[in-house]
Amino acid sequence: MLSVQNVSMSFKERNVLNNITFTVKENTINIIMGKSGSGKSTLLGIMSGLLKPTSGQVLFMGNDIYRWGDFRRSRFRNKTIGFVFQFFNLLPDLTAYQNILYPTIINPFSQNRRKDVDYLIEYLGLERIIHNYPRTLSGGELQRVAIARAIINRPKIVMADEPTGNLDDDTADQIISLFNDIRKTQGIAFVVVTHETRFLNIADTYYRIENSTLIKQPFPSETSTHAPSTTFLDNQRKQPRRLIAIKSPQQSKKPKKRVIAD
Amino acid sequence: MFYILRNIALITKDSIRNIFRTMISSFGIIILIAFVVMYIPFRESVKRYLETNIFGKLAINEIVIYPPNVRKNNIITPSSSISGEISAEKIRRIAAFPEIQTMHKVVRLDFKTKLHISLFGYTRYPYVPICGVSKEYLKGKIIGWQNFKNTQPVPIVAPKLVIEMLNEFLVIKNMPPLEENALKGLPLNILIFEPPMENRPEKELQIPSTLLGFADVFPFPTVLVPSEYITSFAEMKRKELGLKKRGYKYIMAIATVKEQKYLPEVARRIQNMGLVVESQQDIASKTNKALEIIDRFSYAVIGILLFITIISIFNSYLNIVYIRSYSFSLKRIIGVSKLRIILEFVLESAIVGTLLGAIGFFLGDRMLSYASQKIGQWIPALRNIVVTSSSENLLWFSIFFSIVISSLSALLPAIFASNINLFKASRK
Repeated sequence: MLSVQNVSMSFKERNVLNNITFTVKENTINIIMGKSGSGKSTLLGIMSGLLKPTSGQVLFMGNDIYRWGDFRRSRFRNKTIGFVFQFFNLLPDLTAYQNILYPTIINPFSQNRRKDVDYLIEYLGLERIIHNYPRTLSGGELQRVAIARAIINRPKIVMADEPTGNLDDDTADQIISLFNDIRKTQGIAFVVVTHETRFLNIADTYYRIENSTLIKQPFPSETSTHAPSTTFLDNQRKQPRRLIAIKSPQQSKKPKKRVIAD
Repeated sequence: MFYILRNIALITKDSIRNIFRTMISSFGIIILIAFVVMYIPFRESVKRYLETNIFGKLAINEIVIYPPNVRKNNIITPSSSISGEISAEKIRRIAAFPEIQTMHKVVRLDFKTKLHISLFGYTRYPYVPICGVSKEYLKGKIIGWQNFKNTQPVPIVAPKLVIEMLNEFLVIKNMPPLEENALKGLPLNILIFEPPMENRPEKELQIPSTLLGFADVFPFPTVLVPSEYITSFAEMKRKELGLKKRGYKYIMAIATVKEQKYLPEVARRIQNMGLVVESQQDIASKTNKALEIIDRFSYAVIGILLFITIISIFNSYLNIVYIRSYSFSLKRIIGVSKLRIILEFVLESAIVGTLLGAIGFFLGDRMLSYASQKIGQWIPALRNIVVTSSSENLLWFSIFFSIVISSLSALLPAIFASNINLFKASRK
């Protein structure tokens, strides 16, 4: 789906990434680890069309995104990519609800916007805080709002940059579980840049960046002593559901009925 | 459609949210607009005052045109014009210049003429040239002049020298001298001599006339009558006697130009026709130069103010971009294009420009109104100046000017905003 081919990136004299090749397949969780400053976030920036690599290509469905103009690349980012960050990065002047809604406003093809937002609010258990401003929310709440904003436009890929880096262990467990649920129920692929080894429990692929090079890693037999014991949905409502807009062709014949999936 | 509407709503909400900060940043526009709003009407009022009250009285727009013979050895002697002539064709050409506003032609009756004066039983017959000028030229200067109906007695205006001559004569005869007003209305006769013809000698015509007043209108001794009388008399005699000559000639013309700035060019063109021109060109050119210097100085002040305002607003907008870099970068990540970031920022500054332009206009208008009341106290020389308040056009100009300044100042910061190192900014 999204393929990085022979990408290198230098900042002045410093070579950050060297000849990276990497593919994100549908419905997968891809973990990238590495030391601080190894170029993990830079790779996310390149994959999302925000940092043009020094050399190499980023292909989406076979098209090089850096051959597109800024307008088309912005559309691509709005529609196809969702972002989750360590520090949540919500717009401080907007309420949680407005933050979730924002990407749909600038998406000319969005439909059922408010229904989708309402569904996500219920799905992520945000009803109580939805009219609050970000400064009044806890870390876990902020990250759930950020996740809702990331997936509201039904993206193909969510890129997460240290999504649990600012959360306590229990909340981090919930977020990891939530990623797994979203992958299963919504069919969204994840690229997660993290130091958190518990993500390996839900990962399909695992890479490390060392010496500016991306190296595929085998899964360790014992990845964590503190693996999440329950899924996010166990904690929330035990009933994972799809976003109403993400439906199979058969399901789309009944547009008003919300489909419940296991 | 809904997409456009919801985005307009979003941009408007965003602008309103940030408008207070942006307005404070662009505060300098108010001062600049207020200054412009005060300066333009004040300058116009001063210019109008100078033109109508000072230059108008100096007849600064006036050109006096003489025949070529008045220039002798490069010295102009206007009194010589009485014996010269300006051709009718040249008079017509000058009158047709687009820059000419009015033109008064001075004509001289081309017959031998005398004045028959009888006072206290004494009679005199001095030779006096009879000249004519249009009624409008002396309108308001000589009472009764404008009511001339081309009937007899013919109204005449004598040079002030005549009063002196009469009184000298009366003193010699041991009689008291007379005041100017006592001589007004004195009945006189104009004696016009028809030239001798083949079958008859010279013939004297007596034309009854009345002395309307005294004035040294022209730089030569002459008795003035309305030019209509001279032209109709000459036409009548030309037909009656079968004369080849027109019977009168143009000896001088007084023209006014529409604006002082045309004076040098019009004078040059008339001189090129071989005529002699006397005007207040020097005063006019010096005045124009003074006004130009004042204008240039004022424009320089406005230019410097404009420059400082733009730089200060630009700097403030850069600060705003820095403060809001977090939200700009987030918007870019969420999928807002660079162009949209630029447009949003410039639009926001244009909305602010509209508000500040209107505020600046009303502030300037109030200050102008106050200053126009106090100007006489501050500068006594300008106490007669009537400063008219700003027009509606100036309001629209102020708003437009303010929008342009605000938007231009915001353009570069907006481009910076759209080019922030987004991915790094988002990791704050």
